[in-house]
Amino acid sequence: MTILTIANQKGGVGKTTSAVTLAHGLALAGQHTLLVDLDPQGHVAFALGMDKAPGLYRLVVDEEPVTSVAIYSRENLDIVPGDKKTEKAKRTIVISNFPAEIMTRVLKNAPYDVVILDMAPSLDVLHISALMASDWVLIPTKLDAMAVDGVNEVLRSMGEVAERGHRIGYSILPTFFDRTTRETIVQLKALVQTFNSHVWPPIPQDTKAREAPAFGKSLWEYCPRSPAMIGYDDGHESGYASTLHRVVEVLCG
Amino acid sequence: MDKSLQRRTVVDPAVADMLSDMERRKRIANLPKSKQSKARKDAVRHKVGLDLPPALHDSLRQIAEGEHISISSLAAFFAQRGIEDYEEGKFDLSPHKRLSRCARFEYVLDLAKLEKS
Repeated sequence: MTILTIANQKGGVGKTTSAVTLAHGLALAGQHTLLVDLDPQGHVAFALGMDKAPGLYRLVVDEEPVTSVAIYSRENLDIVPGDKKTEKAKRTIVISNFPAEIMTRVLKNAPYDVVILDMAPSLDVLHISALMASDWVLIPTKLDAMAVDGVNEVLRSMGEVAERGHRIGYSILPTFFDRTTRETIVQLKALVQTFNSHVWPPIPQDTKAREAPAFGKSLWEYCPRSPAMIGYDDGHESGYASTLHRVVEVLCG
Repeated sequence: MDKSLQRRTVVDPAVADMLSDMERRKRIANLPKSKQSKARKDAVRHKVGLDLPPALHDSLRQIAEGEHISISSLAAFFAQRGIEDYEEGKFDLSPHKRLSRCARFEYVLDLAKLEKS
């Protein structure tokens, strides 16, 4: 089992869209996948047309086994949904023994090929705990200064985790990519100059990607041929389909 | 310095490719409107310089003029046909090879010999 965390301290950068799309993509590729929602907004379930539920609370506070908390979503894809009780779970974890180890503990021996953790836009105990459990971190970022600053914050947290002896690989996924604006080009160049090969080809801005959650469909179901999925028609690699190949390469060799 | 050392690419090749394309588009957008169309056409052209014997160049020019086409497209057509024949094993380059005096290549092709045959 390998664990991929999707994180950025900045909100609205496409974390949940990336998590849901990659999780469903892995499932369609035959990987038995679990998607865990660590955000009290509970949008993972919503995006997949399901109800929010205190799945994470049951997992980390009630210490129910992952197999009884996980809910079937699609073939090969289960989710641990979240809701506002996730906030309460955080407060409980803080006063528990070894809070940083909690995600590692609850996911130990989970019967999945891949587990994806969709983080909340915050830096808290769940965040550190998720990083401690992770094999790889994917950091979606909009191409604006504040979101890129969020990347730095995640990397600082990863530095703290590394000090505890757990080094994690990472990639940066530019999202909401609009090739026509000057700021996009400036920020993408700055990102590449700073993080070099850690920067993956971007996800084009796409209205379809915003519509899909309203219908409770993943992008694979709602708009598999849209720019967000297959990139612009300009011969350059971009979109979630190419990101999925890279994730498979990183996680499954 | 060891000349066999190669500088490693630190940027993801797909991202580097995309960035250079965006830079090119930006450069073109900054040109006066009258020059943008030509710059766009030039950008997608792949220009190469090749050494051709003058007689061969003359032959190409004459055929191109006779067929009312550009020398570039004629040369590209012949090259395409030549590559296809070569890949299908319709001809062998070995009889035309002679040792090169240039340090970069082991052989050159003897075009004079080709004309005689």
